Amino acid sequence: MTASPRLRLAAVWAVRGVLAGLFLLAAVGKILNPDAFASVIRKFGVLPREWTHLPAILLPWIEAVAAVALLAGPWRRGGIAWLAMLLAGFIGLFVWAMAQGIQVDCGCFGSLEIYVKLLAGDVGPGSILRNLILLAGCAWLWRVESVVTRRQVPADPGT
Amino acid sequence: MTTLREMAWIGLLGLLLGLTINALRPGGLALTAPPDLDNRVAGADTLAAGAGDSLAVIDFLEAEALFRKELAVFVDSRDEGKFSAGHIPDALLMPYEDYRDGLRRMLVPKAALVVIYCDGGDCELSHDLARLLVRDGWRRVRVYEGGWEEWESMGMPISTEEAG
Repeated sequence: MTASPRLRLAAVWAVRGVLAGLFLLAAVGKILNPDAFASVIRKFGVLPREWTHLPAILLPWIEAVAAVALLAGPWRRGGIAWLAMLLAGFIGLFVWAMAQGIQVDCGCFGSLEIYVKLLAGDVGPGSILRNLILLAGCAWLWRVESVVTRRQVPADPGT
Repeated sequence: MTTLREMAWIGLLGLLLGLTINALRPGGLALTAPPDLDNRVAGADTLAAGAGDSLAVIDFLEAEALFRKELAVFVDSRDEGKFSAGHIPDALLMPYEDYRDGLRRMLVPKAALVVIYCDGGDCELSHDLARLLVRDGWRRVRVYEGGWEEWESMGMPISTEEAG
């Protein structure tokens, strides 16, 4: 049984909205307080201390631009690919931190975590599961976008 | 190929926005963190683990009591921009990254009970500064981990006086 096109379109926009919304929220939280985000990066201990500022400055903006691209359209596949890559990276980092026994706040939503307690929490199975679900959302959107892109390519007149 | 090109544009735009806005905003981060301050602190790990006898973490209620009874000198380890936007009344400004500025250091009395704070949450500046002060002879240093965010959210008095 195939879902009606309207229902499918609604589902696509819902997934886009959730993904973009969460990443925009995460970006704003980090942009508001880059000090705190740099501090979280330091706690993971994967980068030398000197190099913890640069990702704190750049990552939130890449998250924000990718989220806007996912919503706005022109670079939608690029946006999905960035978000998926970031999510996969975060999942890898969290698994590694858990394996090392490092207890650290995930810092995913930066300073917004103190206002929205639901977003806060240490790195653990919960944050990994959340990112896996978001990654699955990215994979589904990627598939949908691929179909749309294929349909937009005009058929070869020779065939 | 198109996707790669789109990713490159997104990355480039993020990079430009991040660097530009960081350069323009007051209190933007230096591109690299101070390299050697932590390394120069002997026994920093022991202190961080709470095993040292000079450094302890206090919570909001303790910080509030010390503030109300005027029993401690509060030290703000954030940068000047954040300090000017709001700080704990009578707190001294001593940004972690300006630790080498001896004049600022001299303002923090060595005999006093010193309470250091930064933004709160995961901010480490207060811990970093506390380690340096303990290393350099301050004996009664406390870190208020809730920091500015908790202080402000609890409706405590704040000041926006410029640093002296």
